[in-house]
Amino acid sequence: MPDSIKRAGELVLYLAVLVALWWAVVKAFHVSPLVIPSPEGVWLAGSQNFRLLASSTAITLGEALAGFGTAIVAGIIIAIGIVSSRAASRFILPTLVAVNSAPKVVFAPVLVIWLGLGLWSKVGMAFLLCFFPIVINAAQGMREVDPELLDLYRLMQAGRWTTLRRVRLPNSVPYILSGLKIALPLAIIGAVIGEFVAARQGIGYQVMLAYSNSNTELVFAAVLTITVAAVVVFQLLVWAESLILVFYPVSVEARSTA
Amino acid sequence: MVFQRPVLLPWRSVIGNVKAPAEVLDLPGSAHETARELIRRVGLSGFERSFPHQLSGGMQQRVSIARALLSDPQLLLMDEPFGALDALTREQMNLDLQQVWSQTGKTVVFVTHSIEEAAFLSDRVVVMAPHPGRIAEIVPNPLPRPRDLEIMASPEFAALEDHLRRRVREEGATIAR
Repeated sequence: MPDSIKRAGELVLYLAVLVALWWAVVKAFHVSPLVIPSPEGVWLAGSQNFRLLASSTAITLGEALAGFGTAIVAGIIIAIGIVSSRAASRFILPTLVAVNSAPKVVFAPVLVIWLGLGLWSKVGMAFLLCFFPIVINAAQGMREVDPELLDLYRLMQAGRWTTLRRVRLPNSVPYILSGLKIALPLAIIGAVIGEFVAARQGIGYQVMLAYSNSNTELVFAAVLTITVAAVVVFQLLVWAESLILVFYPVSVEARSTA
Repeated sequence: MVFQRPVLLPWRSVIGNVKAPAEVLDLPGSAHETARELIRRVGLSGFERSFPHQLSGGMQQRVSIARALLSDPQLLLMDEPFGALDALTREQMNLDLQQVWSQTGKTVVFVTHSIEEAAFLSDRVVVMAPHPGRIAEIVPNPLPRPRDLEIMASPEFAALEDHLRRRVREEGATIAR
């Protein structure tokens, strides 16, 4: 415990040094507040608009998490479909991996056309960005099973469903967890991009609004708010993952036979 | 079936692994009670709740032997099960396997590259020859049971080992019981 307090202290000190540097640079070089506003200017803009920024962040996080959640469910179900069929695993998985390298954000306007100006086009964008890492990792985790474990279940004449439930799905848990860590920041990016394209609320909308009013202080305050919120949500996920892996030891086969 | 490696489910405890076949096969009686008994028999009492990564290689292989016995098979197939263990652990595993064997009365087919192991464990040693794989000779093992480690120092043991080694060398081969 004292160790974590010490680490938290170091973090606060580090952040304080960064802010001090920021302040010193802005003062020393007389940087225009339109380009880089001073820390106190950003603080003032942020505290004056605190309610607005907090509710906007909540909206954006809500959109991101809705997309993230649906992507988890859809990703795992589709991964099961992929590993259950030889043809699907030979064709669909490589297709997904290939499509994954496409810049999916170009779909943002299309999603507005399909899903409207409201929340759903942002949820859709978050989903689209999250879906690929989750489905690819889940399918990989269900396929990369110790071949001898599969032999063992085949010897017991276990059916496809039993093998999936008892071996493939449990084996994919750590793969899915690492997919989630890739997907969560993408979900927030997706929601913000959706708001950039067309929106009436959310942090992305507030950033665009403040930008068009040349209110750089408020832009910075909004960026900092969503950044802090994203870091907190991500740390919650990391913490949940480590908690799961305590009760769910995996990939030990490799460690133990070494 | 016991493999060269333990091949356990890493996310399940010792008892979970031993019970695992009951979820696939239709077994009579309480799998939990049978599993507990088998864990005791392979010498892992007290480790029921441990996970595979907390166990040594020898202990993991004991888990896999208990798992193989859960369905009460008539025949136990063991494919170089102790090949990856150090020499001392291997000797202990041989002693314990002999005990499990005498208590359960299973027929065991045991593949090994260790001549000493073959001579110590077997009733009959089947010397195999390669290219194509075939039986070179079936050697009866006259050593009395139960056997302990001292038997390895006896002239009978040395004679059997010597004979097996010569046959294996002639055939360039593997041996099995």
